[in-house]
Amino acid sequence: MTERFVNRWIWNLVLGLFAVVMLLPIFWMLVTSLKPATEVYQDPPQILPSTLRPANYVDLFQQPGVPLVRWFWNSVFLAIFSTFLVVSISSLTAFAFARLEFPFRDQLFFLIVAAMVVPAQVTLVPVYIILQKLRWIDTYKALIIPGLAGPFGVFLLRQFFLNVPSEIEEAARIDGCGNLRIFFQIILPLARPALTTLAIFTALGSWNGFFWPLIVTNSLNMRTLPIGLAILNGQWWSEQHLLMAAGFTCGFPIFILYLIFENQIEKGVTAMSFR
Amino acid sequence: MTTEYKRSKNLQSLIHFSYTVPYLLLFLCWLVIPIIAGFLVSLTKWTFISGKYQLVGLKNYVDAFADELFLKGIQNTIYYTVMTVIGGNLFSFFLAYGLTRVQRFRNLFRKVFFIPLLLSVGITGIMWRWLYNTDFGLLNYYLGFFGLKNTNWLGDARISMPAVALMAIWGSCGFNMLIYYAGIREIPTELKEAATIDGAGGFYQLWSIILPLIRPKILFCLVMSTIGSIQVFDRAYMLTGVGPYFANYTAIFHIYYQAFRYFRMGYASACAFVLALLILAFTSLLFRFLGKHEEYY
Repeated sequence: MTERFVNRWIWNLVLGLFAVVMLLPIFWMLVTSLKPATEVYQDPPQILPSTLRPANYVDLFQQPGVPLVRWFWNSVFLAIFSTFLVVSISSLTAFAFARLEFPFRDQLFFLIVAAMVVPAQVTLVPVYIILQKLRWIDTYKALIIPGLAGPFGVFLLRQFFLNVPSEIEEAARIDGCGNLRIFFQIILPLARPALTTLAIFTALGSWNGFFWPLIVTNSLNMRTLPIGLAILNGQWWSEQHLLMAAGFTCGFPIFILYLIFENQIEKGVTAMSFR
Repeated sequence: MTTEYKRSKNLQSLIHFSYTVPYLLLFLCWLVIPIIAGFLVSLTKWTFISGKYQLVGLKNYVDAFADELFLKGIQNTIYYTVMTVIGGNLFSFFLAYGLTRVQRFRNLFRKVFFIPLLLSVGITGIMWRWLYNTDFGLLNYYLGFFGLKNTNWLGDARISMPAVALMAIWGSCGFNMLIYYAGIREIPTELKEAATIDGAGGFYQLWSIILPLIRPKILFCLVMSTIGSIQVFDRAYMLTGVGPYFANYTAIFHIYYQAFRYFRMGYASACAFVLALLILAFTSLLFRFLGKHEEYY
């Protein structure tokens, strides 16, 4: 018993140490963002600054040519909008592939799965050229629409819909329910965990997206948050405190969202691996 | 009767099919056609600005394998991939295993380890560049306690790639940790208890019960992190750009520069296909060694 107790506390200690080490970069960012400009570049660095200057955050939003709020909203808007579209389109498609019959259904699905193996870069040049021809470069359309073709959502949801017992569906059909009612009132509510998983992954993928937004946007106002911060990262050499304030401002809302949706996010992640 | 029945059946099929039309259109326009077009473009010399192109066959592929910069990119990419996949998965598993061994602070720890994953690479990039700063960075300050001299983390060609890998492991270990954690918890407790009664120590339990039973999870995490790591670009871009002496120049950097700086669309496309083959090779190797009739979920 005591051995077990000691064991547990050793692990507590080890994990606690790692937890502190892992939070340190974030803490350091917060501390730096609150330092007066004159105290930022100090050797040795002051972990706990003598004076706090919250006004850095006011300064941040008064910098000329830095549409930080716009970048943030671009990213939020893209994440919400593409998640909504991916989930609705994928679920309807997956429903047809899982529960309905039509000619060449399985062959078509095989084609979709096969496309999943192909990595994204091979479509990079052609998609860019198509966007250029459509004059969609530097628009929200270019940031959202090509991403909707990803087969992952259809694949994931079909797998889940296949497991919904067919008795429920048959009973509903006998009661005179049409396809769409079955879809909206039976399948979708039962598939909530899978829908959540897909939503979380789409949203995180969009929020963290870097390469694609870098290529298809070029005006300052159309940039997303990661690209905007990359621009500041290249411009601000002596304004480290403002850079850190920008980073913290943009990370904080996501942190709050995480605390609210923590359970769903964890379930979503764990539901996604091989069984 | 029968003809009418048949007609309504056909109509029904058509309605069923129509549900898939929105997606299939997107799939066709933004995936199928681009993949085929991408391959066709890779067979041409096309500078995009002039709009002229000429068929050159497999020349772009031959050029890619003779291009020292591309080979350097591939080499750097593999270096980074090996570091992050092995290091990251070991660390994630270590955290997950630790979580099953503690009780009171379990939820707190789990939350903390997951947080870095939520920060987009834009944020983690600026954070870590400041952390790595040679003269004023926190990392060198703490290492100084151990008597280490200030290291130029991002400016030294020998360690700039490991520095990027370290940030990547920090930033993404929470994901695999959750999967390993769930995997270990799914193992029936009777198995562990039986092993304990038989006198099996912690290490034996880990090696002969936990690891074999979570093999599907290990395969999944390795495959996902390999696919992600081979496509590394953003983290290196934020921390160092191409890095000292092109030390952090990855394969995606090469494709990006060739396509959007030099507008060699055909050549860039060929490089993309080579990289795609590399990803396929790596993942099929993993499946070969770790996967036995596993179902993808």
